[in-house]
Amino acid sequence: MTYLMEHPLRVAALFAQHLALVTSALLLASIIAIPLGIIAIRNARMASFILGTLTILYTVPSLALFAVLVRFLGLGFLPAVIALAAYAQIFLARAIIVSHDNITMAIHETARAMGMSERQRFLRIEFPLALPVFIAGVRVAVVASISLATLAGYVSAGGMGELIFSGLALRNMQMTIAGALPVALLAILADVALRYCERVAVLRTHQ
Amino acid sequence: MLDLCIRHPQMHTDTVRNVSLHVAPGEILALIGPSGCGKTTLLRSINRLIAPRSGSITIDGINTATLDPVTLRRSIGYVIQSVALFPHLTVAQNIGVVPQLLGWDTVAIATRTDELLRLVRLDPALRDRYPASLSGGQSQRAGVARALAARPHLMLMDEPFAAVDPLARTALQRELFEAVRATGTTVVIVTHDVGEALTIAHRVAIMNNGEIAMCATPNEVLRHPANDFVRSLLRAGTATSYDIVHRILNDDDTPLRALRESV
Repeated sequence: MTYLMEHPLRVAALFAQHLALVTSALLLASIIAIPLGIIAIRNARMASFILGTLTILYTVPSLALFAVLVRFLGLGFLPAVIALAAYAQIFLARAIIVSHDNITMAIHETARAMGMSERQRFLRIEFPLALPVFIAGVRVAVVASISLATLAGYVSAGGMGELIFSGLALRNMQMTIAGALPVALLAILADVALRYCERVAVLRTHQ
Repeated sequence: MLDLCIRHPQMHTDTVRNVSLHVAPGEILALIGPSGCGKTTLLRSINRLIAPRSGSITIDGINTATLDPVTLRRSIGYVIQSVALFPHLTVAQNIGVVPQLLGWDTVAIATRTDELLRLVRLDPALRDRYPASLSGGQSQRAGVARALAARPHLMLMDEPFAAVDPLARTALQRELFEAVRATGTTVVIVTHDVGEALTIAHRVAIMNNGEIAMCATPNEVLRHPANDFVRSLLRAGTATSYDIVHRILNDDDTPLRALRESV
C-alpha cells in the first residue's frame, strides 16, 4: 500500500486511463457486435458462420494479438483498444445470438400471429425476454476487458498494467500491488453490479 | 359473421395442393390427418404466417392477399399447442395484447378481460398471476381468452389441447368449445386427435398428402368414409374412443345436432 499512498495522483491517472481503455474498447466492440448479432439472428446460416469465426478469434492468445497489432499500428492507445475490442465483441455478439435463441419459436410465432409489427415484437416481447441472457454476456465482456486491459501496459498504452509490469521489472512489489489491487476491485465491482442487473431482469420476466 | 373461402392455395414447399374449402359463418371446421399432410401449413396460410404462391383465400369476399398482414392478423384469433403465453406479462396483460394493439382504452380492456375470464371459467384471482404459475389447463383457458379478446370473427387453433393431460382434456375441450360456440366465432382447428375433431367440429376435413380426402360432418364421415385412407385414419383414431363413435352414430350430443337446431 505504500506506493499507493506515496503516488496517489499517478495511480489515479493510470486508473483513469485504464477506464478509458475499457470503455473505448467496449464501445468499439458494440459497434461491431450489434450488427453482427442482428445478421446472425436473421439468418441461421450466417449465425453458425459468425459464431465459428468468433470462436476461432477467441483462441488467439491475447498477448499474441497485442504483439501482431503493435507490428502494424505501432505502440500506444489505438492497438490496445483494437485488441481489447476484438475480444469484447466476441462475448457481445455471442450474447446477442444466445439471448435471442433463448426465446422459443412458439413465442415468436404467437407474437407475429397476434398482429405485432416487427418493431412491436422487438420492444414488447423479444427485448425484455432476451435481456437477462444478454446482460450475462455483457458482464463477461466487461469483466474480461477490465482484466485484459492490464496487457495494454506492455504496448505503452498506459493503464494499471504499467504499474504491474514496471513493478515486476523493478522487483517493486508495492508498485505491482498498487496496480493489481484496484483492477481486481474494479472487476469484482463490475461483476457484482451486472449480476444484480441480471437478477432484476430475470425477475421481471417471471420465467 | 364471417365467411372463409379457400381456393387452391399453392405453397412454395408443395405441402398443400388442390385444396378447396368453404367455411360457413359460425362453423367449427376441424382439419385432421397424419403429420406432414399439410394441415398446419394450410392453417398458417389463413392468417398469412405463410404466404401462398397462388390460389386465393378470401374472408367475407375480400382476398387476404390484398390486406395488410398485421391488420389481418389482429382480426383473427390464434391459439397454438404450447399456448405461448408471454411469460413476462400477467394473465390480464396477455389477454389485453390485441385490444391494446388495436388502441382500446384501459377501461374497455379491463371490462373485456373480466368478461373473458368468466367465459373461459378462469378464476378472476389469476388475473395478475404470471403464466409460469398456471397449470396446463389454466394456461390453455387463458390462451383461448387471449385469442378471443378483440372479438375476432375467426379463430385459428393448432393442436390446442395436445399439451393438456388426457384426463383433463375432454372436459376442457367441451367447456372451451361451448364458450367459443356461444360467441359465434368461426373456428378452423388443426388436430391429429380424431376423437377431438369428431366431438367438437361441425365438419371435419381429412387431409392426406396435401389434398383433402374427405370433408363432411362427423356423422357422414363415420357412416360413409370416402375411401380407404379415411377408413384407416378413423379406425386408428377412434380405436380408443368407442364411446364417442357411439354417441355420434346415435346423433346424440353432437355439434351437428346443435347446428341443425340453430339453423
